Amino acid sequence: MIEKYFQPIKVQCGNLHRPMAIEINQLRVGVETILESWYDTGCWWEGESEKVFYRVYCQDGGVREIFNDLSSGEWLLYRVYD
Amino acid sequence: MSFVHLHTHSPFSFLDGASSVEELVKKAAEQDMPALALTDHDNVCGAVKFYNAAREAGIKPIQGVELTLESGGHLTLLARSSRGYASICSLLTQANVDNPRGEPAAAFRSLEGLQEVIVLSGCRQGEINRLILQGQYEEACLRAQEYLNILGENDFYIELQGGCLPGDFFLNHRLMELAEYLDIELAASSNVHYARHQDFIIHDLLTCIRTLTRVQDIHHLRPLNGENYLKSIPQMKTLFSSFPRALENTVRIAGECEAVFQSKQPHLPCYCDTNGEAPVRMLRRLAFEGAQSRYGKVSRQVKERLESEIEVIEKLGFADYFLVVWDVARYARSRGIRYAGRGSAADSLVVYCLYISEVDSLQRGLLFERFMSLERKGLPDIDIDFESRYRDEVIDYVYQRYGDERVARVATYNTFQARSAIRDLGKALGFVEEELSRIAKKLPHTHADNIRKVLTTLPELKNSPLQEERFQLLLDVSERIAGFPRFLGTHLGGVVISNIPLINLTPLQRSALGPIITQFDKDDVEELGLAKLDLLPLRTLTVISDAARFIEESGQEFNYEAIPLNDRASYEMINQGDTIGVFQLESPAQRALQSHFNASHMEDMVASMALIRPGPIKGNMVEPYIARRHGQEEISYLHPLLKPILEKTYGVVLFQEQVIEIATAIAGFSPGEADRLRRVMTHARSEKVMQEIGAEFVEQAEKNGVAGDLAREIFACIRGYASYGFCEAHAAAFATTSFKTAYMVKHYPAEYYAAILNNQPMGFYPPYIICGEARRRGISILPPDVNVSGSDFKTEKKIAIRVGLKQVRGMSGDALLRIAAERTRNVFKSPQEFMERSGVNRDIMENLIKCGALDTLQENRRQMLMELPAWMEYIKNKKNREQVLFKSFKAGEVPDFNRREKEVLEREILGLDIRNHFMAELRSELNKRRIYSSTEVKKLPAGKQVQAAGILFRPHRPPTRSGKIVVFFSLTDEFGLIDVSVFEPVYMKYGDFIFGEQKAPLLVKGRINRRGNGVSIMAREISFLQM
Repeated sequence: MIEKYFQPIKVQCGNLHRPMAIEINQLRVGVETILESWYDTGCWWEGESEKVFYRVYCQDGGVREIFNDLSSGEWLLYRVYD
Repeated sequence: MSFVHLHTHSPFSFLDGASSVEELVKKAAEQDMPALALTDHDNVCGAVKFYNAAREAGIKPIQGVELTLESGGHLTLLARSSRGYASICSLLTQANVDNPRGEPAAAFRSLEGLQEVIVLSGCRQGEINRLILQGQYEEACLRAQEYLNILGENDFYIELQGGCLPGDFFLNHRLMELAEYLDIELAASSNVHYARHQDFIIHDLLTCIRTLTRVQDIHHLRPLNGENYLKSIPQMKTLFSSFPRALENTVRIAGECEAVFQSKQPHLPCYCDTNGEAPVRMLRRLAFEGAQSRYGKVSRQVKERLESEIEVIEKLGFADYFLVVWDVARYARSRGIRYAGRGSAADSLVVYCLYISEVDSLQRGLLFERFMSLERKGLPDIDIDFESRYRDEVIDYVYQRYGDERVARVATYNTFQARSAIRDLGKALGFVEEELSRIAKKLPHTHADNIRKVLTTLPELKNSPLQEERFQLLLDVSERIAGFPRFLGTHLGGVVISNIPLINLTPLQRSALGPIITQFDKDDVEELGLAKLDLLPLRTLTVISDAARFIEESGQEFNYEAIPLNDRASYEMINQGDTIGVFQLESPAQRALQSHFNASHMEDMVASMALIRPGPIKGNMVEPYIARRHGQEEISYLHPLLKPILEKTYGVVLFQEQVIEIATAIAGFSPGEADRLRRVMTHARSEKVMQEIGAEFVEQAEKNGVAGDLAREIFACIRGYASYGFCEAHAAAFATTSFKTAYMVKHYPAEYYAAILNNQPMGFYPPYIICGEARRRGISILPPDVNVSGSDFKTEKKIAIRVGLKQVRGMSGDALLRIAAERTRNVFKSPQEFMERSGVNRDIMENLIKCGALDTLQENRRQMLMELPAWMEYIKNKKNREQVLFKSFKAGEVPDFNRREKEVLEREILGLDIRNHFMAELRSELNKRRIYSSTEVKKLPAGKQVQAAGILFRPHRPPTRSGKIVVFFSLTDEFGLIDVSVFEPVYMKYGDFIFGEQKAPLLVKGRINRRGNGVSIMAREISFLQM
């Protein structure tokens, strides 16, 4: 089961601005592996900004998709794989 | 570590590439990449431009293609050499010709034929990638092994792509595992579709156009992100940090590939029917035989000229080319097909003696070097006009004679212009189509990157919705795609004939119209070493043939070839500007020129052809020429040597040939060097180049004994005129046809105008104006009649033109055949009987009634229309053998349409006026309001303030020397045309009435302007006529 969120989160980044750890609801979880990453320009014609997505395998055993809005710099939780 | 992009799409991927070839090359060079590969979808259309741009930028061009297989899978192919390129061309030809147009697909097995080609496994649409993404790893491995077996380990690479898409990490790692397992090398790519990241939106919009979607729609082919740009070496290193070998291999591959167009060897056609006679010998024999036939006796002058031309032709290796053209012309003659050579080829006496052209270059003193010289590196290019209806027969002959594999039509690139960009991009951006269509229609025909300029300069666009904020993005993106190719078209007459199979040089494909075309346009085929032969369709020649037939059928004797070129009556007509229908003399500008030019011999006709061209008009050559011709301005020459050269054009440099002669006489240039100077002067853009040539000219002139200051003055003079000059040979070729058609208009107006009406669309004027002109000359226009009319227009008793049934709206070919067949058996006696026997459908029947084609069977059109449903029922029931009672109205029971209603119906159905022009209906009212007709305007004195009204026709803004806008248009009425000139201040105020929607006839107020026999109105005020 996959659940979708658009929840702001804090992310600690490492080399090349790649996520090393994420903090959701004040709970910090380390990123074990980046499984995938991709860019998405979204609805550019509506002024939506470009985002970079990461599918990460976290140290708590969870798989999450998070993204960084390249315009605002904001990080958001996108999906959680159950 | 370096890197080379081996997978790059340009706009020649047709709606899948968003940066020009030049931009892509520039970006690669800026990134210090040693090479770049061009791999458009299933074509190499951009190859020549790519080669030239890369050479200029100092990087190696690698020619490739992204091939579509029958499975839909993609492969990236890269030519190692010219042989590899030929192999790709052959494969693409097969993929195109063996499949429906626009759906090229190569058979997997056809890859076996590839030689000296490196193949990369392709993008996500590649077969191996697709299988991996579907989880079919074993099948992917098997497929990769098959590629390996066919292509060999040195020529097959697994392509890793850095598109930053979901699944890339997974896919690239599976591909790497597969490559390791099968021992295949890797190659990295970025699947480039544009040069810069910000060009992504252009790519997305072009994809929307290609997939017929709007930005709001979801489509699997639309890009998810803007990562398909030409990334830098550091960016590629970061992206492929786990696959350094894949990066290194791109440089290795680039090193193994050669640029493919290095040998600029010409591939001229071979005339293979010389019976052992050497081609040059045969050409000499034919030229001298032709000279004997043309002149009766070959004089020393003719002999010397022919010998010198043949010597040049021989040295350049063009003898076969001339024989091929001679053969084509000979074929046309043998079939009775009218033709006429045009263009600079008419500068050649050989061309005249081979009966390719009718211009006697020797008698006219034309320079062969304008057409061909040893110093000139270009390939020959001969243009011939043929009767339009038989032109394809001539091309068929060429195919048959020289072989399908060596002959092809030349392509054209249909590019985005202002209107198409607004329509297509606007639709993709989600604007309403009807609104876009309205907006686009109001735009002039201009480049897509010129829209903002016309929005600020043209008054009719000051209220255009494009001025609104919501359209600014559309204008931005329109500018970016200006000139991008939209699709491949077929050149009007360009044919290439090669000495080797064309698939060595270009892929071939089927055009929309059917013929096989190259993937290159006229400029690019020449760069490939292919000589083009322009076999053009010219409707005027068909009109001449048709009119000659009408004349002969009416029992008159006529010989087109024997038309006297000094016929006074024809010159008098030309001098009145009464030249509607006359080849090359019918435009308003030409009519205006002729009405004060006072032409009296063929030299005037030749000058006329050259004067009304954008160059001479912009160069302000027209007025000085006329003033000198009329003795109103002194004719002077800067140097006595110029007199013999410029005497025939009253001291004005009108023709390109004169520039060559001046450089020869003054600076002692060889004619070939002088032509080089002319060409540089014509095309030079930089002041520096011009100064260099000027210095060379002056230096040579001084050596030749001409004072430096004077040489500089002469150079300044020819420099001012060179870029505006016109080719005299071309003008002379057109002038004869022009005068002869004037003669036909003057002496056989019914026959000539009937022929024009049968060959629409052609010329400057639509049928209704041609009919009006015929009426003005005393020719009656007779309505169509099912018992009398043929399919086409025809003449009756030399004084009338009968409208053909083909002119009736909605008429079908089948219906025409049935009507003709039934009429042969017996004339039609009633409308019902006509309908029953001819079997025409209800729509055609209604239109025939409305336009009066059945008037001779029953007068009352309204009654016929009312009875029509009953007739149909009657016919249907009769077929079913059912008894029916047929009831018709009694005479007088239904009143017929009145005259005005009938005229409206005729105009609607036939597109022309049978009885009279629309304005005639308003004439009595116009008279009361002192609004003048065209006849009255012509009688008024210069300077008189008038008002005139008519239907707007053909407004246009020709180029002017000052750059200011002047608009010319005509008003048409029942008596003819009124020419109107509108200067910029008036145009800025009333432009919308001229170029906007035409809701009513125009009322023009202004001043009468007279020049010679010409009369026009200089507009002061323009509005719609209120009645």
